[in-house]
Amino acid sequence: MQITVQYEAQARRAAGVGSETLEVSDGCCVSDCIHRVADAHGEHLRSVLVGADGEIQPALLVFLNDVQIVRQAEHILSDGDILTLMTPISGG
Amino acid sequence: MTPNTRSSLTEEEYATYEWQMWVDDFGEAGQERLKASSVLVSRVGGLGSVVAYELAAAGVGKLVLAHAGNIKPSDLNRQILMPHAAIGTLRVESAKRRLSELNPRIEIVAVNENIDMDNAAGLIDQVDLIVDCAPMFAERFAMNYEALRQKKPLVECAMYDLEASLTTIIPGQTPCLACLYPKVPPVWRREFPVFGAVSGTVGCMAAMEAIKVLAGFGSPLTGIMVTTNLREMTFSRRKLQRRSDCAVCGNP
Repeated sequence: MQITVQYEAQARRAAGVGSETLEVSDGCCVSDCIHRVADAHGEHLRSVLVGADGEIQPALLVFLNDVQIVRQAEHILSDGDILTLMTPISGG
Repeated sequence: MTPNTRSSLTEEEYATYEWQMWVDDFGEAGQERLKASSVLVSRVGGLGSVVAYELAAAGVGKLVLAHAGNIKPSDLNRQILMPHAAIGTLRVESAKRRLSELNPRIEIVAVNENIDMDNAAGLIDQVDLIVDCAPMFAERFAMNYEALRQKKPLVECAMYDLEASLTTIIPGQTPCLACLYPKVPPVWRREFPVFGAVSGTVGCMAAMEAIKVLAGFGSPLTGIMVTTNLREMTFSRRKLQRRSDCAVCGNP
């Protein structure tokens, strides 16, 4: 199945793209997907998505179909989902 | 529209605010509420300058402006309350002077300090609502903590590059800032890419949120984050979730 991953704020700059389409297998959860794109895009994106401990950054804002996801491992992706990864911004 | 005998508005205020009182669900009652209201704007940089400007123009009765330090040349591409001639002088004094020229009917308190855990309680105690325009998360978390403790609404606005975000936190009703960011984000830096037109755009939207909450009309962004990307001119509305284990607003 296919999903779309959107990148916002510093994640967009680190990914080098605003969005991309991914082929994912049945049963793939949101956290699996975040680790997959972190691995695929290199160290810059990895550093803003994943901490040194290998865990997803607690301050990463994750939205699945425009609803915030707090516990990423509990959410299984469906065909056509849009996953948005937004790094925190504080510019004033 | 003419003043009725029970209004707190003067003839001059009627003349000044007449066109916004034509907004149906705002009207004279809304204007009186704004006049009786007070707002803390933390800081008055690219974003806060515009927030303060629009709130002053709209007739919010009292503005408390908190921002430490002197004007630098690199402020001037976006901090519209700071004139070139005032480089090297206090930011809040320039902001107060400019806003007083715009609207001499309102009270403006200039505080040459940035918000922290030591001064947040006293500053927030002076106002009905806070608009958070701070460039550092430590300041934002201090305001979030104290706004929740004092049960006062907090308009959260921020920008980066050509992107911006906005939400309105109502203590006890909506997710708080710590629900969004349970730990201080490790990658944010104080200096960031910014056009004044971007900070100004979200500043106007944040001012409108504050006006709606204070006057009690419209639909504020409670539990909703609007994000915009002005590079592509797109806007999104996203639903936020309250964390039951939030260290600030969650259940003990």
